This record gives sequence, C-alpha cells and structure tokens, in this order.
Amino acid sequence: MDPTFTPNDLIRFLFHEMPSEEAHAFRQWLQEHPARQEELNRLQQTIEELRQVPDGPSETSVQLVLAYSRQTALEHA
Amino acid sequence: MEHKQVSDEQLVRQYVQGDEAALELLIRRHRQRVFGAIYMFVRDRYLAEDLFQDTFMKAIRKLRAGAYQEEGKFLPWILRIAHNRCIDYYRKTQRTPAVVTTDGYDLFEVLNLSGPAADRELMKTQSHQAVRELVERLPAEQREVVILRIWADLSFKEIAELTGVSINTALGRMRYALINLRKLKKQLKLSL
Repeated sequence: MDPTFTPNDLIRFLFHEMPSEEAHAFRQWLQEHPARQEELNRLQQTIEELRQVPDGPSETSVQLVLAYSRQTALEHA
Repeated sequence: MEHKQVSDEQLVRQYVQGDEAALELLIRRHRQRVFGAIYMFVRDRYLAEDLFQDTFMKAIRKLRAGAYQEEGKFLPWILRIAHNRCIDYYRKTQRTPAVVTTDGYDLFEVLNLSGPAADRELMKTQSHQAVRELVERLPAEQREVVILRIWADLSFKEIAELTGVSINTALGRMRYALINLRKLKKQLKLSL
C-alpha cells in the first residue's frame, strides 16, 4: 500500500473520522489505486449490512422509564 | 415546548429543571443506539429490554444528582452507563471474570456468556438473524469493536480508551472484522 495511507485509513475514512482535508487527499489517492477503491467498496457494503440490526426497544420499556422519571420527580422535589 | 432542533445538552438542562418532555425526546433520539449496543452485548431481547430500562433509570438518578458533566457527549455518556449495567448484570448473576482488566471485568467473557439465550426466536427478520450469527462468529476483540462502533456509535478514540488499546489497534480490529464477516458470509452462503 502507498506509504501515504495505511489500511487503517480506509476504516477512518469509512467512519468519517478523517479530517476533511485529509479525506480530500484520500479520495484523490483512491482514484489512483483502484484495488483500494474496490476494498473500500467491499468494506462499505459490509458496514451497511451490519447497520440493518437491531431494532429499538419496545414502547413498553420507554414508557416504564418515563413513568419512573415522573414518579421519582415527585420524590426528588 | 418545541424540541426539534434542541441539542442533547439543552435537553439535559431542561430535564434537570423539571421538563419531563425533554427526557422523552432524549430517550427517543437515542433509544435505538443504546438498545442496539445492549442487545449486541447480551444477545437476549428480554434481558436487553431490562438493561435498557435500568440504564436510563440510572441516568435519571445521575442527572438529578448533578453527575453529568460531559458537555456535548450525551450518547457516549449513556452508552458507558449501558456498558457498565451489562457488566454489573453479569457480575451479579454469572461468574467472576477469568481475566480482570483495568475496569475490573473481562469484557470478552461478558461477550461470550449468553449463548443459550441466543437460540430464542426474537429477531424480526431472517436478515437480522443472519447478521447476528455472523457477528457472533467473530473473534471477541473484533466483535467488541463492531458493537461499540456500529451500534453504540462510539468513535475509535473512545473505543480505544474504553478497551485499553491504541486507536490503531481498534481500527485494525474493525478492518479485520469486516474482512472476516465478508468471508464468513461467503462460507455460510448467507444472503443479507
């Protein structure tokens, strides 16, 4: 891999943890390294699949927390 | 009161001043991330529901006690509480960790504990089930990073601090996790 960027930089880029200036340079670098662009695409696809799960909590759980807050607010006051 | 554009910090302040609606918005804004992180740790929907409630109840007590001091970082703060509640649960109900970390527990042990519960048919779709099964097959340290980054939404810096490794190690674990997940998917011929 090009000494300018490491494999870990692919991850930093994908998770938007790269400063904008560096990300811009990285995008340009990717254009010159199609194999890395392909790897990036594969990693991105896997991340998107992972983000499918899971759903949120039940409404009952939310309501129980809110009820607890209201109840203890009276005690706290 | 209009809450649509209100920051987490403002909601916290409003809640501490007695605005119950602010708490509801905070919960609804972050419930999926918090629940997702808990669920992926315990792999049991019923237990995750309990720990979700426990997490926010603990947060309520802390907020009222003035123990929230992380300006602009409500989500990492509540996720740390969630993480600790998961650990506390296993401390009380399961066993003593084999290897104690600087935090006093073995996160990897926790991640490996609730196997039988994972058999329950609780995920809503086959796709969810497949993803879960794939993640469970990852080495513990890779699974941990996936959970904390993708579902808990912690930054790699925060993950590094939480797990006691360097940022580069956390990044590397994520990369290998993604590569391994893709390989596993092919091996198992899963469609997600």
